[in-house]
Amino acid sequence: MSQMDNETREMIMQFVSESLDSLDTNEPLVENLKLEDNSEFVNSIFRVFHTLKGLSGFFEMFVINRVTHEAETLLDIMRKQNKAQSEDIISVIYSVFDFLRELLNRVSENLTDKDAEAEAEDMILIIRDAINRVQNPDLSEEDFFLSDESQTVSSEVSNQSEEVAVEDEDEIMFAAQQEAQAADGLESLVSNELLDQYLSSAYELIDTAENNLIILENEPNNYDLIANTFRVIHSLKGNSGFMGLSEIEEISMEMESILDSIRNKELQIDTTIVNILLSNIETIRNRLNALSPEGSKSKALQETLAETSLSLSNNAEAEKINLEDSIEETDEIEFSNKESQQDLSTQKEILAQAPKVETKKSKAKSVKKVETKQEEQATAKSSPPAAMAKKDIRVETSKIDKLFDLVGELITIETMVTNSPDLQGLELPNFLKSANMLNKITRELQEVAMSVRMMPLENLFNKMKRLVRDVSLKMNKKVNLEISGQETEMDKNVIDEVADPLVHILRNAIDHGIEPPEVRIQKGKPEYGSISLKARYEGNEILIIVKDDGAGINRDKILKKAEERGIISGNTDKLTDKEVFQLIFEPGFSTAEQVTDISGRGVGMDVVRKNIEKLHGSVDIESKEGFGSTFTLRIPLTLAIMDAMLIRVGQSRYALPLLAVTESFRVNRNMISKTMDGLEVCKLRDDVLPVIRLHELFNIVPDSYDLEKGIMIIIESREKQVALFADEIIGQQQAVIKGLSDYIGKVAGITGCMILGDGGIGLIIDIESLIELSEKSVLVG
Amino acid sequence: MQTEDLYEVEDAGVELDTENTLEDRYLTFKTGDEQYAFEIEYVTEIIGIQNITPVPNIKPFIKGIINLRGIIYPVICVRKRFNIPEIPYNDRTCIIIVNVNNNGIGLIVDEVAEVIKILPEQISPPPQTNKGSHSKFIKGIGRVGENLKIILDIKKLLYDIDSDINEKE
Repeated sequence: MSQMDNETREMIMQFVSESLDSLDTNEPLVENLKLEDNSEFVNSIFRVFHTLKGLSGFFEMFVINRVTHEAETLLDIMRKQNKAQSEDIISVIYSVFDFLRELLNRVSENLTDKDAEAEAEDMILIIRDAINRVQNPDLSEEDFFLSDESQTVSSEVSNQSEEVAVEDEDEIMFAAQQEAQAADGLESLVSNELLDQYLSSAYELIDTAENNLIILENEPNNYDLIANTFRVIHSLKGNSGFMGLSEIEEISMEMESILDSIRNKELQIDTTIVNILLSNIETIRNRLNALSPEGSKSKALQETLAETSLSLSNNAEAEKINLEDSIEETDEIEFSNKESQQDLSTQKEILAQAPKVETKKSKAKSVKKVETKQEEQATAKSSPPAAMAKKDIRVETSKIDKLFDLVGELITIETMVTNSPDLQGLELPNFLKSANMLNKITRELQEVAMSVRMMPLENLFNKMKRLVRDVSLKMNKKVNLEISGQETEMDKNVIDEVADPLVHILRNAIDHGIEPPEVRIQKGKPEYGSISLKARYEGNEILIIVKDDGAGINRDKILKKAEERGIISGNTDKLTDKEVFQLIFEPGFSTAEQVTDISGRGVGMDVVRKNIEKLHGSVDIESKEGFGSTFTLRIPLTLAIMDAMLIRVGQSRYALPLLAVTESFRVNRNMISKTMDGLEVCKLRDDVLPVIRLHELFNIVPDSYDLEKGIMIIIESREKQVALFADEIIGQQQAVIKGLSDYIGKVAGITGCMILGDGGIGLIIDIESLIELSEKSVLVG
Repeated sequence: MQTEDLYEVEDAGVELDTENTLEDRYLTFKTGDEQYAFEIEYVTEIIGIQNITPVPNIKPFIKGIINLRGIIYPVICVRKRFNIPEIPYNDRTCIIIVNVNNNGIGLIVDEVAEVIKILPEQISPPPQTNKGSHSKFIKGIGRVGENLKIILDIKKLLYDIDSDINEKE
């Protein structure tokens, strides 16, 4: 769909807008069809459908085209009849209007009406039924419930009165829908606010249910949780019913009945049932998404998840059959539990009497529907994804971004004002007082601004739970996922960007890391592999850590593959393990023997590193063969104010994160010595620390090359301590961390800059990277 | 030092046509012995030379970064880019801030001249000879009255294809 050019897109949008107008303008006329002399109105409405049929055909919106074709036929018959029409027929026409509106709205989002085919079938049946009734008003309604598509009817079932036996469950569904749609017409005046509240609550309910189900799979006898899940779905059913959302209500009702059976111990929870219920939740979620007028930017995540289920369902022919088989079994179990020995067809007869039917067969259908739906969604542009978290007030993200930027600038200017060189050396006690207050308030403003866009990782992590479950099932691995630190907050935009890499890493851990259960047992490991997903703050960064207890990474295997791929050559002995592991991120790299369709395509990992680097973050890998691997994502906080210690080397000024500075002092000769490799070191009490000469690494001319004439600053990063040689310490300052332009790119040892009190710029030193740079330069000599 | 030398295109003694369109309009500047020109649509601002904070271990023609009203811009030295010897900055040295690929970047030039209109008919293709190493940046030669202006490809000037410049990043 994204290949569509702008002109076509515009034309489609215009078609949608004009068609919606036409529907709106003509809808008031519909009720006049009940009048004897209704020919003028019939004609108007006929023209509406006729025009829409033509236009939709032109734009290849074949679903709308088919539906309007049927509607046009109906109006044509009415035109010839020239008499008053009944209430039910009028209701049908109202529902056609509603349905067309919905389709048009979807077109405005997806630029196609393709994924509405199934619902359109139902609508068409309704219209055809209306056509029949208009032509034959004397016969009873119910006789014509059967559509052209109805299957052979069991001979045991009679045709008269209200009993209708149908093989095809769609009939029953549509009958219920028809009822509900009549109700819909009256309730179509639901306000936006009500819808928001409903959606907000509905998303929460299904999230809770989903989480519960995943837990219940492993704790089938947790009746408290089962009861809670039942209540949650029950509420969802009620709310949906109130809102006139009959489809969601239907699905909730089916789920409710399954949960009820489980609650009453008539049914035992197992993987199959959890799968069924989870796909129902997925269907409901999709419906909710279609209702929600805007989605969040978590599209990537939704598509990734859809992809996962697509790849899961694509290869799942065998699985589909299994699912249906087990549903058959469940059918029988249920029936025998109810102590009825009747055969299946008579069951259906009895079930068929109630228009709202709860059978397992329809669940099979809804599962199938869900699978096709997911396939369609993965190919067509997906409908707006669900919001990541509840929003209680809708604000355009551009407004928040602007606010954010302004707060950043305010902080910068505030620093410039309070540290203005004009004020140097003046005694200004009152000014200082006010300046302090200003500083306090600005700080608080910064925190609030940051928090506006910050959201807990909880939602993302919960989605990972589902992902891990699906992927491990698919790969036949047994995995326990533990999450912690989900309350850690991260900027919303960053969460969206980090979702994709996280998914790749988890898939990778399950696919390549965790061994199959048999292998694990052989190795003396617990059958269930464990993956822990943690988040925490560290200084100005957020860490997301994925740790698995799987097979670990084989250094030689990586090197061999990298050499084969031409990614590396020459003497590889000197590379540290860390550096070898980083080769995994090179494009085109993959050590999977056969490319599994979930990972191993050699595409996933380099995307991971690219995405994280886009966020100015980094990925670290640690691994011990046989024991497992740990992937650590480091991402800087976006609007970070840093407390810095400012130092000067020659004409340049640098900022060191205050947190990293342990102490500083002047050295004398006997504290300095050289190691055998020629490395300068400094003795500090019992420790011997390497000396880093900034002027060497950064090519600056210092005031003096003599260590005794300058100052030593001890800095620490990840348990490494070094002594930094500088000319002088200027002081301390708080400032906003600004990036070096993208044009400059990555600079070893520097992680950004900050604007100093006099308007000058101090480069912020990245201690970790500086230490690396220093070690490298020593090697090179 | 930053704000005093700030001036818009008008104040730099630049002639502005009264028409509003930017089409066919070029900013001309002098560096070394030549007059150069490039499309005005890239230009955001022109300021006088100011303090540049060097950044270690980057491409030599990127002189460093400047702070312009709280925003950080990298600046490149056009002389260095053209491989001609650098001269000390004087009061005519300017930084032209351009916006290319959503990045704001400053160009240090000897002197900014004016904004003129050069119609496509007045532009001839670049000479084939490899005279001077700025040749790879030349888009064409513009004839304006009796003068020739060398029309530059700004994107190439900033993002050279030969060397390992940050296109991948």
